[in-house]
Amino acid sequence: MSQPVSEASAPIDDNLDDPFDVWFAPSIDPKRLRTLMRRDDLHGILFFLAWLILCAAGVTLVVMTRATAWLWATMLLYGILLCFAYAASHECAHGTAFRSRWLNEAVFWITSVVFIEEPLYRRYSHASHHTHTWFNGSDPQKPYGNPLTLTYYLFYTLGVSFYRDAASQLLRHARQRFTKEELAFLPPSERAKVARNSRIMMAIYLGLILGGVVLSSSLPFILYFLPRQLGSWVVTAYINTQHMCMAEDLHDHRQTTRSIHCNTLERLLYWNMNHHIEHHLFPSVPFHALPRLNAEIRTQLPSPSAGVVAANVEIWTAILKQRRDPGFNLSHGPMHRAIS
Amino acid sequence: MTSQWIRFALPSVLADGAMQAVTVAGRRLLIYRVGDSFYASDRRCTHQGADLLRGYFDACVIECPVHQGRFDVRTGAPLSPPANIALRIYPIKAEGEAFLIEMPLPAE
Repeated sequence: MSQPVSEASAPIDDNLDDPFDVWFAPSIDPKRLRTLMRRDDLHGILFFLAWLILCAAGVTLVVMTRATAWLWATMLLYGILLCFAYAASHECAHGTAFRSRWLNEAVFWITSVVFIEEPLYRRYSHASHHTHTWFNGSDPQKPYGNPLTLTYYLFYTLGVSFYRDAASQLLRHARQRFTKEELAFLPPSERAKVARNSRIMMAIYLGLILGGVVLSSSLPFILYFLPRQLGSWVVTAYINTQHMCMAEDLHDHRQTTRSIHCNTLERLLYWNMNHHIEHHLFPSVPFHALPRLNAEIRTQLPSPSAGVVAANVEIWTAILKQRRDPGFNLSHGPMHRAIS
Repeated sequence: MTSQWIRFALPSVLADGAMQAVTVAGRRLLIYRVGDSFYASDRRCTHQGADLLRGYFDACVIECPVHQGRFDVRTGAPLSPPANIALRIYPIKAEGEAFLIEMPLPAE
């Protein structure tokens, strides 16, 4: 039941006590920011189609060379392209790849299966990564911390234990076994769904393996399992640039996160995630608007590294320095260095 | 009696497809307009308390600016993770240039 109408003044109030206000935020016109947040299907379709076409070309090369000495080279090239499924999967985890939700979820599933990361778990762990970016002990997507070693760098970047780790996690999640850290961000209502999805994914991979064995076909291996391993180091080199050897435990993405310069082909494959600081500052801005976001706020950000190779060289140099100074990192230091 | 209709006016005209933050009877709210329909919800995301005013509003869906959890502003239903707790919504109707919103009475 309702009481009679009463009058109230309704003051506009733009200052909510937002728990995320502890993070550095650059100044940007809110109207402009809302424009940058706009979603569409076209950009996602174009980027996804470009990846599919490149992968199809890779498949063709692998099949054409399957009986030749070029097979390993073509599997490497195709594998590099295949592993950039990471980019679409990441954008779909945010739900910003497409305006159409069904398209976002369909591409999320496809690319998550290719990249071998259960989508619902990925969505929650990545949300937690955005809550606790590069905080030791609370960021679930922070697999390493300062100081690093070159041995670890090579082990991690080459993905030496990738299949073992991925299979172990899928199997564990399929049995609804979660670590204490995972339970912290995965609500009870979602755990059975993660388990179901993990079982579906395991069935897909086992089906591919069994299909290859039963039909005496090498196709599942030369078109998926081997290229997925062979090509992973390239996308990992890009992922390394995002946070590796940066400062830790700070509420400032400019110091914990790194942006890099990329050419057109790289941006196409990486879905503009070279603008990584910008992405962390405003994760609701879709990938296709990140260059425009960069244009709006670049004077408030540190200069990007020269490229993926340059950033990884910076990382190696930092790792060497960390031998003598374990606390050394590539923090951009007191900010506004680019501001006049 | 468990609720009360409260009349209030927005500080400025709410355009179609836009949202506006207000405080009514001490509650921090967002008022949304979709065509000729108006909706009202709490302003904080139910996931981790982010300010939904900074989020993205499109076609009856408000999206959290931090984690992209999404809610249907007509029902408050969470539409995608990490949002999995409904957003509180309030019945609202336009009355000329003012609005009527049904709010719960404070506990005695």
